Amino acid sequence: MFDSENALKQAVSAFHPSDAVFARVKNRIYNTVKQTRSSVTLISVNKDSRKIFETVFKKYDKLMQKNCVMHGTG
Amino acid sequence: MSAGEKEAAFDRVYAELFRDVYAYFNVCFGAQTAEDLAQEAFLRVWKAIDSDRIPDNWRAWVFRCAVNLKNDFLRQKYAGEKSQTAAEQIFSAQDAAAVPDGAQLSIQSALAGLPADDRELLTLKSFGFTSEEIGEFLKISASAVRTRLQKAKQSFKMNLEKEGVTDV
Repeated sequence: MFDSENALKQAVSAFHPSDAVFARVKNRIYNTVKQTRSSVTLISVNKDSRKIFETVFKKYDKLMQKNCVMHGTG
Repeated sequence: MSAGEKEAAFDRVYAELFRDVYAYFNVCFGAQTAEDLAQEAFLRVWKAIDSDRIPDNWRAWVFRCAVNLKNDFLRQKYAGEKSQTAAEQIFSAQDAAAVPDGAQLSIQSALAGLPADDRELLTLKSFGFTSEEIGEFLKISASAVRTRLQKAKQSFKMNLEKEGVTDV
């Protein structure tokens, strides 16, 4: 008997990933997550880095304020 | 949730849904793009778990996300062109090597030979989504989904007959 629902399920199942793709994508996701976590740790833990960031942010803030005054938007 | 609990939650969602999400993108665009887009979809799953935004229904949540990713991808890659034409260009550009040899080949070719919109609809239907759910994903009414599904199924059946598949 012809069963188009069954045929459809068979057809779609052929587009499923291999076990290698399943594992590879999962590893890539975990690597991306780890990278994101480590960059956050750098800012919150390392004091020297935080000082550098604070200095940069202060300078950026001053420049932004100066820029706003020059363009009359501040 | 602790970091370990988050990873366990992610692993569960990934194990349950990755294969279908990948298949959805593979049917729409082919294997290479499917891998990238499925990865992006599950990065969003991770972000949701990481920020304790747990939906009631992961399956619907992930597929809503997948359909949005598909639409964004088409918009970025083929701005100004009709989305269906764009999807066809990407799909046909992919290696048909994703198609295996053997008895499955004719059935799979019958699906691959349909227009992109029909392939997408039939794939979502094969995953067990209702017309209402599919309509919500695609932002069309449930009755429009039913009408289009009926036509798509008819075309699929005709393609199967062309491929010589009469007994499944």
